[in-house]
Amino acid sequence: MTLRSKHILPIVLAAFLIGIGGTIIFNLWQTTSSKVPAAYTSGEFAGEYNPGDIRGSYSFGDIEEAFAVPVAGLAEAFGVEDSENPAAFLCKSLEEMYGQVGDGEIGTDSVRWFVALYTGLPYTPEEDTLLPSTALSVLQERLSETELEEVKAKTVSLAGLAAAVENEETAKDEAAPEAAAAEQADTHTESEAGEVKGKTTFGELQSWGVGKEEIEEALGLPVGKAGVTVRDYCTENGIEFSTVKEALQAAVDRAMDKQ
Amino acid sequence: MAKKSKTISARKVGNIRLIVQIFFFALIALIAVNHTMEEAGKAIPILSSASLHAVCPFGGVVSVYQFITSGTYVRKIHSAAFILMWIVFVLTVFLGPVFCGWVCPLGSIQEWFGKLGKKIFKRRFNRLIPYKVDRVLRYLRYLMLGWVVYMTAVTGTLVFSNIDPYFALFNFWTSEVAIGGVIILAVVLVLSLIVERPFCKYACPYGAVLGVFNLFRIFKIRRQRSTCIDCKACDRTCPMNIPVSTGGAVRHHQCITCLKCTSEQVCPVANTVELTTVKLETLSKEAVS
Repeated sequence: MTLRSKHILPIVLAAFLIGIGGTIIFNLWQTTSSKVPAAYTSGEFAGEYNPGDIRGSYSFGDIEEAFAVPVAGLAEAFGVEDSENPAAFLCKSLEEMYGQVGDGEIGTDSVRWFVALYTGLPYTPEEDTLLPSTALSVLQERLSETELEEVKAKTVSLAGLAAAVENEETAKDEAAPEAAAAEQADTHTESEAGEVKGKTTFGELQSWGVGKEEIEEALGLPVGKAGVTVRDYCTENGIEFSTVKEALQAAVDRAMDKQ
Repeated sequence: MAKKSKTISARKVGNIRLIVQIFFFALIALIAVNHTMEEAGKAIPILSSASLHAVCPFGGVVSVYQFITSGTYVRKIHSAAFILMWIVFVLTVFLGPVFCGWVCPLGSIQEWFGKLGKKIFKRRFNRLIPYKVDRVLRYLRYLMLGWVVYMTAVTGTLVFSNIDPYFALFNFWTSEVAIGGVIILAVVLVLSLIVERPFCKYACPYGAVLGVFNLFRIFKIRRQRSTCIDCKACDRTCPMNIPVSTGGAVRHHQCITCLKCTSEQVCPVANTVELTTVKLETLSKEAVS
């Protein structure tokens, strides 16, 4: 049997159409992860969705659906009420909008924390997580005076933030392109190597030289699979990531000192 | 006159592949743009707005280890990438790496840059790297494949995306792209002016996987020795510099099934170089009897 170009065209198109179409019909074709967060497995809140499992790919609409936090409240809290479609706003976009602010960061973890505060569900944010000051007005009626004071200490003014971002951009524009590239490369390296974050996987911990025993000691649990993030593993096992983060970071620091 | 009509018909045949390449390039570009638009809440309905990782079959390949050991995908990879991987594997078992030659947008853009390179360097285009060096460099992509698969298995993250020129090509306007990917994309496009498909030849880990299928694919590029006039037109036209004229069937690990060497395109003798399942000598005998 001999094939020509005129045969290849329909064969290739048919293979993709039948393969993709068939798997769509059988509901096997997934291009995004499910937007159903993990639930607490034990304790007072067992069975309720855990805000700790909110991902960067969740939109404010997804969060409203899962946690009954109104999109309008989220948009106001994070200063995106002017956005054309706040329901479609993705948590990870906050990292682009605000990102690193001084020693802290406004990003997906800020949304996790905000949702936990709004709903009264337990969640400990990462140490450097911040909230925009606009979140306080949304949370005002839901938190006690003491709680509000505690949260206030970890908020930043959006007006001040906009000015800071503008200044930073002006400075970047003025800097030489080489310097900007070097800065970007440095930032990338810092966030990738040796820094324990929610998205750090067990594989990454081990590639940084941390032994299985040390990880197990820090977690109090057997080591998870290489591709699983430490935060997800903690959430699945009903423990707070923030309670083990410090011990893991210490183990990473020790391992990196040895290298 | 006959030669002129052969040239016209060969050009028409070559356009079939070009149409498929443009179609897939445009489709992936639209999906990537729609993904960005979706994040801004303005996605085009009907058209997929999946992330590029979700519609890349190589994502399935790097996820295989994790899928076997823990039943999950590497972060950012979903079942779609696995399904695409299987579709491409089935196509490749039959037709060889037709994905590389007809579908892959990164291969297509290198080829289009190569057309410009041909105009600049004329006959020297794609012949500037000494044969001995080139032959060794072509195995680099297997090293790349080994490194990517190992590192992805160990870290559970898409390590390749930080240096992936394909991801950079369709994401250069977003903050998701790493500077390493943009630099490599720029280098690949510049090199494409000198060498045909440099990334495919020397660095593509997915091409390395698909290239292995050339050893046992069902439809092979076959040459009929008895009618071959040894003009070497097939050798000269092959974008991957494969010496088609030296054997009966092409089993070279870099064939991309572009069909440029066949009798419907560059080979001047009918039924002499064909994509077929049986030896052409057998076909000729059957035709005579």
